[in-house]
Amino acid sequence: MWKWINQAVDKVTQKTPDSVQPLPTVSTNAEENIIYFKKRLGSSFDILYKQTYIGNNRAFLIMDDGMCNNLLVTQQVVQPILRAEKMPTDPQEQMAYIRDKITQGIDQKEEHSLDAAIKELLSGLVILFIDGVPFCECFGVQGFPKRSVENAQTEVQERGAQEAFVESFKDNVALMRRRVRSPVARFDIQEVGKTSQTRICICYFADRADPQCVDEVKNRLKKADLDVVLGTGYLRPFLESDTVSLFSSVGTTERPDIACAQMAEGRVVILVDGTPFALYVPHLFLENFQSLDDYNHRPYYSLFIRTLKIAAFVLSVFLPGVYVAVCTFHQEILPASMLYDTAVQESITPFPVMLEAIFIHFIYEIVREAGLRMPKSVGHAVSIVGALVIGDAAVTAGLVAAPMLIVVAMTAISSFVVSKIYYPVSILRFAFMVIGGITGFYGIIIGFGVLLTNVCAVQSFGTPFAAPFAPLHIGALMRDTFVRMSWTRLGKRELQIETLEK
Amino acid sequence: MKKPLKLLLLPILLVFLFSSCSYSTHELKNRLIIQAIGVDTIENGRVQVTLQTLNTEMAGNPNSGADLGNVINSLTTEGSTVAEAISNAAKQVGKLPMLSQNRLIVFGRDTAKAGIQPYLDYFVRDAQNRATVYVAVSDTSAKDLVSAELGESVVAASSLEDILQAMQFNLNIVNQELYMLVNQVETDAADAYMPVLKAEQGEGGESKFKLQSVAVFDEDKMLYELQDEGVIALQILTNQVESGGAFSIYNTKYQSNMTLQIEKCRVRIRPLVENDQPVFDVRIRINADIAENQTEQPFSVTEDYLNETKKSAEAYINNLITENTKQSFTKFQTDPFCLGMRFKRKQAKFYKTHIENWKEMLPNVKVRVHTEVEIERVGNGVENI
Amino acid sequence: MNKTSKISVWQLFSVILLSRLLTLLTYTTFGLERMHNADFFASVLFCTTFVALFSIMVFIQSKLFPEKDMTDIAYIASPLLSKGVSVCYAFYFIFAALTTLVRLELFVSSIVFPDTDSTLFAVICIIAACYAATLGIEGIGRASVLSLAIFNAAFLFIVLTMADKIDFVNFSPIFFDGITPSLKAGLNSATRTVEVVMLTALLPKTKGKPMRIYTTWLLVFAVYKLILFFCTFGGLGDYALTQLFPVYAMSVLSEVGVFRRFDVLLTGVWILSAFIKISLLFYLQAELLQKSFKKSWRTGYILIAGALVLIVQIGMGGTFADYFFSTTLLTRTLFYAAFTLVLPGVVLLAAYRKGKKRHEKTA
Repeated sequence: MWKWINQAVDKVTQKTPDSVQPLPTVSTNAEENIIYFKKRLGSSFDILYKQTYIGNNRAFLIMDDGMCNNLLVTQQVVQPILRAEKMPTDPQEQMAYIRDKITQGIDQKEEHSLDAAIKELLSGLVILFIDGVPFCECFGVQGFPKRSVENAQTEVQERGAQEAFVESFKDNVALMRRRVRSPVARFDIQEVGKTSQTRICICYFADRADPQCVDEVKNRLKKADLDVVLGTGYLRPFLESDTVSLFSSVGTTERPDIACAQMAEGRVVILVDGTPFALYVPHLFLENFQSLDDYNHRPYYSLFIRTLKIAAFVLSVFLPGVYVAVCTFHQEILPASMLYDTAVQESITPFPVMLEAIFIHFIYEIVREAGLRMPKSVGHAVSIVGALVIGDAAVTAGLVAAPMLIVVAMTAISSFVVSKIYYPVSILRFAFMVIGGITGFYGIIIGFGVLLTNVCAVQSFGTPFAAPFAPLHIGALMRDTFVRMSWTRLGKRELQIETLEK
Repeated sequence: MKKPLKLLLLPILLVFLFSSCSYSTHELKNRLIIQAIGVDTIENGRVQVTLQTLNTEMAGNPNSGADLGNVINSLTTEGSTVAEAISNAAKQVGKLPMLSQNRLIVFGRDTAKAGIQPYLDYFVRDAQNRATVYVAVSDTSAKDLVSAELGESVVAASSLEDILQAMQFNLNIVNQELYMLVNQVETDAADAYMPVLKAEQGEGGESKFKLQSVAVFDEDKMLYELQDEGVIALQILTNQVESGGAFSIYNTKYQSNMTLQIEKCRVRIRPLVENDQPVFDVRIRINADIAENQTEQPFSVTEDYLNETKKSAEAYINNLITENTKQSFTKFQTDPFCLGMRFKRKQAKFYKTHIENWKEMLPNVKVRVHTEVEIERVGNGVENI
Repeated sequence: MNKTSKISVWQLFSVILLSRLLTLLTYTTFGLERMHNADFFASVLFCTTFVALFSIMVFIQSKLFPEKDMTDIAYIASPLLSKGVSVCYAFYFIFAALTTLVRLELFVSSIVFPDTDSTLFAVICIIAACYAATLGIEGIGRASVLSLAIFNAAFLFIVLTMADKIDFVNFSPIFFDGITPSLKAGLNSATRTVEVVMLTALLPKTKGKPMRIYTTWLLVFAVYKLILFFCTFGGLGDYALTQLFPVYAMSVLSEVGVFRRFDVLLTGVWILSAFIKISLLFYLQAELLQKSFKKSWRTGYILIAGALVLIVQIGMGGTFADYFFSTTLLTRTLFYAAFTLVLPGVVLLAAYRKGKKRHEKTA
């Protein structure tokens, strides 16, 4: 069957082209270079070619209209070159003169390969060819449209900085640089994606990141067999642990401050051009319950909040399953008064409790998904319909019992508390509902055992995902897990993620 | 995961999912929630079981106004064993009985006199039964007590449970839990006891419940009943007295009837062997408050008055324990106070040699009681006017 | 970034303690001769002594061949012996997994779902255990630490809620019928201990000094058992002896306010322990077999063991459950001694002599 499926998939797909081709060098005949450019880039309307003369030599200026700032191009490249006095006559000397005396930008480089020049052109640089010169000059005058730095949307913080990463790659690096002005912060560039040639930046602190880990990240990303990379999600599977798990062993953040905090603990952060999110490894399961706000509050409140989040996680995963199990098998647990109420409510519904639970949670997920993807103007309408249909009509019609509705509400609210792991949590919830309905509480316990062993078996770049709980590290446990030490002690020494491997 | 395993997993999961629907008979809405069980023996050695079951619709909506019937229903079934009789309940209601919420097991008086041992097995063996469920004897038949109703929105078993739980603040009440009953029935060193409950017809036609006495068993057969003072002695010697219980004395010097409310009661029992006879040295220490002082002429509370009260109370408790143990030991040769169990633990050697004739030894057992009463608070009183 | 497949000594401690606690929670007095409840306290001490005696070979193994399991040690003597030893130990581990499942099934069908078929539960349990076994020793070891923490929380809760129900009157005098019943109960408990055999395979997979932690385990387990017996017999008295699973019956008594039946808590962690134990047993047998036979078949060995256990359990569950009640103490002791004393003794002696000969030759 799998063979058949693979064949069917092969029919509608094609193998990504291999980009390993001989690289042509820049010809001394500028026109030949232009012909090569046009051949590679086709008739794209945004690529502008300007033929001119510098002295007696024919020259070509090429730019990508959308990627460059036109004013800068005119002011810093075209005007100074064309109005230059004392321009030498020899083409090579002309190019040297332009590079050293005329243009004023620092972002400027010499390219001998035509393909490299094309890449620079598409990155927003202006290319200059002069007849008789075996290389071209690239001037950085980028000015592509971009979003300004805005507030974080998915990791809202009460008391800390509000800035979030943007799509612009350099801005993101700048956001991090601004926070860590130390030479130990390293930002190494790499490219992934055969066609997209997306730039990624591997960021780490040279003095504390495990060099083996940094190399492993670079190697894995180098080996990533991708054609186009349009987001961090494309790279995530190449960084994940070998053990398949619902929980990701790669962390994600949209906040530069969190990215810096991760680097400070010896982790490696990966930025992807065009994506306002960063990945980081190694990632710990416990970090799903932490936020930067915890460090801005007093330690006792952080303890309270973290305990609350873990309780919310437990509720959101297990509550519906336990409810189904209790109603189906373990009625003896309920105190008498609660038993009466639950019994009378459940007695009016036509479905078995398990099916009722799956049905109502399924409806809830539909409403949630609709609310998320709909334009904001109709989002409210979706909420109202959802509330009316689920909240009122279903109970009145006797399709759903009121206690079940309370369970859904509690579960939904709890799952938003641990929004970082919402997706695995919602899947687990369904799994535990089924297990609870079939084998009761004891099946749920076995399910929990499987989940626990799975989470414990995951290694994120050599660091156990469940650390510092399993394996147990008392030092790390007491430092910053449930309990967070005060900054007077926390600030003295930074946690070394590497130590958790032991 | 290997491909064949993936292929196997899907049908297995589907089978599990669909098979779950077959458990719907165990769901809460399909269960017959039992609140009390009454066991009576009838002719030919058969058992009549009366079940007090919950009308969940009424229990969940007591104030709905709709005619949902009584909150409890009672149904009577028969069988050769308790288990068979209970399972026969399905013939009348078509639901699976659920015993985990059961509050009370009642044996009819005749059943208790004939012996309860055969009927205990079901309650011990069945996993759904709580070991801590209350057990009692009905003054008449178990059916009378279990099928009695207190009104359409009152769970009768709950009222009976409340009466038994009142032991916490009343010295004249004792309750008994299933596991303790089994222990007492099974051991040679003590005898079982159970409260006797009675359903009386009230003025409006509705029943009302009352704790009548405490039945004492010889092995598994009901032998006699302890009345109020005997029950107090039982509570004290089994170390079950809690804060709130009250007892009344007569202060002869001041000629006043008084009631003392216990704040704390500690009992220390030392089993000894003296002259080849078992002796129990019982030391009781009671801290009590004056709850009432009934006198014709109010007088000031003096040290002498307090001392006299103390003495009267001590004499009362000493006498109470001595008389009641004596009566049980000599007249009935039973030990509901579980003194024998203490003796067995502390004087194992002696007990082992007399294990066969322990019952015969009971009339010779000496109980030495030494009570110390401390008056804690005198409280308000007309004497202060 | 170091890739290891070893567990720490504390993980070893958690794994073997959970495995043993499992037997404790389903401790049953059926099959034992009638004894007074206080004699069970004495039996704990006897059991500890017996287990220590049966562990002699493990101590010798850890001294002479600290980094090797029995298969490796047997290989020194002869590759064929090594294969035989692997098969023997794999059989023992599968047998132990089977007895664990049978006990689980017995418990589930008597207490948890007396009205429904427990086959489904057994199937789910084995599938889950097979999956966990494929995750490796590190996953199981780490999960056991967390499970032990959860177990301790539940244990403490039950003990605390039971505290006010304990009555010294419920205890019987000790050695009322002599010392023999306690001795027999101690031996009976000891022969149900699979941890000694487990240790022969776990030793080389442990970092640090496992024998020191093993001694701690012996003592800690005795303390757990004494506390549980104290609560059980202090709370329930002789009623506990009427129950198939007395410790479970004790947990039924724990109540907080209107909430009752916290036995679910204890049963829950107990099932978690059973799951971890079965996973570990599957893993260990697969490890031994892959050493002696085809290496790439690790998952296959686990699946075969799972299938075997299920077939025996479902096919002849009732018959096999008799093992608990009908096997005589002598038979069980002989069977146990064969795997804890005789087989390791022979292997160690053969390897030692061969090693000595080689040493003499090279000298």
